[in-house]
Amino acid sequence: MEVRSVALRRVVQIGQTTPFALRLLESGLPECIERGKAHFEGVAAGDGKELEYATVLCDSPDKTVQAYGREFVESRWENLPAVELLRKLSEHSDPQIQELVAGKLLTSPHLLGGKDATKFDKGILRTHNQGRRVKELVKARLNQAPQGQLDQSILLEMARSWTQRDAEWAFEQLVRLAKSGEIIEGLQVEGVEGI
Amino acid sequence: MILTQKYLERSGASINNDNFTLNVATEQSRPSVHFEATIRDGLAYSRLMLALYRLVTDDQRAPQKDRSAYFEWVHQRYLDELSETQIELKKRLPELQQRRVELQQKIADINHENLKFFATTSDSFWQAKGKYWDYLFRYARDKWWALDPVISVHPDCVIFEAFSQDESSYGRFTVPMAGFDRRGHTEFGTTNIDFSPDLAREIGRIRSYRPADLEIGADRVVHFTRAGGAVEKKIDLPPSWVRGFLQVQSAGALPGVNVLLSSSTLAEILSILRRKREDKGPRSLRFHLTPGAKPEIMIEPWGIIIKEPEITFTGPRAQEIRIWGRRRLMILEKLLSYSGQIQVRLLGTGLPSYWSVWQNDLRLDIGLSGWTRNDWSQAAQFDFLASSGAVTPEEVSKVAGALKQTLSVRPEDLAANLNIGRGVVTAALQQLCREGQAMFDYIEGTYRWRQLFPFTPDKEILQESPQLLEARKLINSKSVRWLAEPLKNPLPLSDNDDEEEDEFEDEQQEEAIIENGLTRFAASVSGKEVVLDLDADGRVNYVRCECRDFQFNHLRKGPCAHILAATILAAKILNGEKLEAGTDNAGSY
Repeated sequence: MEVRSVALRRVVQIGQTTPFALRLLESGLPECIERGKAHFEGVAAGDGKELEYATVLCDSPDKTVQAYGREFVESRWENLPAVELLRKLSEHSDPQIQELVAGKLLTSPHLLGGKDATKFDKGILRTHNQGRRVKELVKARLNQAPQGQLDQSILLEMARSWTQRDAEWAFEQLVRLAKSGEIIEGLQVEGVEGI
Repeated sequence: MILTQKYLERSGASINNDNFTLNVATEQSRPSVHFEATIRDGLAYSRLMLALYRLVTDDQRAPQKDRSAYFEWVHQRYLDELSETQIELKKRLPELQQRRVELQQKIADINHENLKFFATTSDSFWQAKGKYWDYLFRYARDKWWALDPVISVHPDCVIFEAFSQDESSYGRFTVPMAGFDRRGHTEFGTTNIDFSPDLAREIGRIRSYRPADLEIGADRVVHFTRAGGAVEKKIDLPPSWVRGFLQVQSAGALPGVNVLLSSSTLAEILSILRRKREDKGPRSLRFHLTPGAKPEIMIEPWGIIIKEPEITFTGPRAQEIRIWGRRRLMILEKLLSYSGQIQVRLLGTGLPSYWSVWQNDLRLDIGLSGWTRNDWSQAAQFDFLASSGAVTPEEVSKVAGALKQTLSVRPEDLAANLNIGRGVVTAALQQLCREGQAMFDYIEGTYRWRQLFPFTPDKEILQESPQLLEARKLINSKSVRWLAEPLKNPLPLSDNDDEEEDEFEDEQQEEAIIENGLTRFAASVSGKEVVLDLDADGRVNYVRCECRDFQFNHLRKGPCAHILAATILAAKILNGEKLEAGTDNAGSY
């Protein structure tokens, strides 16, 4: 512990690189975490490095560092280049980071471009048995979105799913599409609406 | 067999502002291998490598529970219920224990005298360490084993191969060379990589926006933050791995049924398996396959049927195939949201199955043995069905030399180049696979030079199965009698066929059959009728035997001794030896 204190004091003197600060955070030792956080929090608002720090923290395999990354993103959201950040974070496989992305997109759908948004939505909606909250956020955004934002094939896949909740939602979307005149293989809407 | 592996350093990774470098520590005692490149599709690479890591750490055997606390509790209750006599006896216990301590002290003093020149650390440390490893071995064996996947750098691709903890699942991750931006020189070869949990963690950081470099080789400048140094790993290398590789590759060469499925179909099956727990058998997946119809898969014991929504089965005949050990497919679970189609190759009910998943050009194949306890290395016996001919050491050496030079070759091409019979070349190549010097790439249909060991392995690895020993006895006792002349290009048989001579359904089928190059043999082996079809490579295409073992197990536990005996002699006939129909075969092997 004494050796560590000496080393950390030396770190203060000579400064630290991002990978080193990340290792300190991932070490799980309180004093090292403090020193690591100091590096990330030392970046000035609006500095170009904020984006790099946010992605490096969120991409950490360590859950506590990821949680710190999410806090970092929330606290500096106003300064961060949101479009670029969400495009990068949309590749993440962790449900909590995905939830962060989906939450931001729910309020500001324009932040993720068409192709990237479709890729993100497909990945989330096709996932089974994990990330229920993020799935619901994506569904909520797609409910508000103009029709045709999601592939018919994905909706059909979900409609056949054994997960009742997803299947019902997908049927609803498919009926919306059919009513708007789109031809959907194997689906025919009959009867009077509302009855 | 104890094999000492040396690594110059631990595998690890470094991140800097622009990119991410994976440093894969290689085994030092092998011929050098060097590869340095940037991975083009980092995200797909990361997903598939992590799937391979899940396979490496997968163990479907029932874990042994830690019941030490329970036994301690039982012991206390036992002490509480001691009788009067026992209490009296117990009173003498401290005295006896004291005596034991004194004697132990004497032993310790003597040992201390012996050890004081060597001891660098206290006894308690070593005892504690021993206890720790013992505990891990009993209750958390996955942390005890050092599992080092084999990485092979070939001219056309880099292949990572590994077995799961229970050795019932085989994983192969193939990255084509087009998936790399290579730098510097490349030395083709094979090595073990140190696939540590840390490395797996680091792979999880790879993203499309953070280029990832893969560097394999020791003679380079390494940039990473971890302390380096020579790390020597001594692992008890399971001889079973060589057998496992041989079996999985041999089984891959056998005829099977190819089924294409949408990834959503498999995702649905896995989702149901994750939500439900079986409290009774059967625990199989039952494939209902009808030509021109979409496959249906029944999940037992619940009878849930999952219908493939998009892809039609194009196989030649309707069949039902059951496979077990389905929870092993969970390895693929996280890949399915990002994949389109899954290619499945089924060898038959209770037989191995192969599952392939793509992420762009990168491919992960997993080979599952017939069921979880029927592991690839011990129970499977498919190598003899893949090639049955006999070869001389000179022929093996000649073929090895040619393969070493070309690195990858098809048997027919090598046979033409060396002017040796195709059956002999295939048998020699199989022999090299058996010795861990080559691999059969069942995806490309080629043999590749791939040295699992930098030396010729012990006989322990090459040990013959009891069935093969029995087969040799049958041959030596002249128990094989041919029932008919070999039939060239017969109509292929399947397990469902009762009649041998089916009619051709159409001209196209007839033409295809004429070109199939099969030869059918019918023999009586120790009174049991054996029918087998061999192809030009001496590979068994169809087989059946009258014996009880085959009727009960088919090929699930490998071929019976009768089949092996007939196959060995049939291969000799294919290679030009004369057959005397209806007489005892005097040939020996």
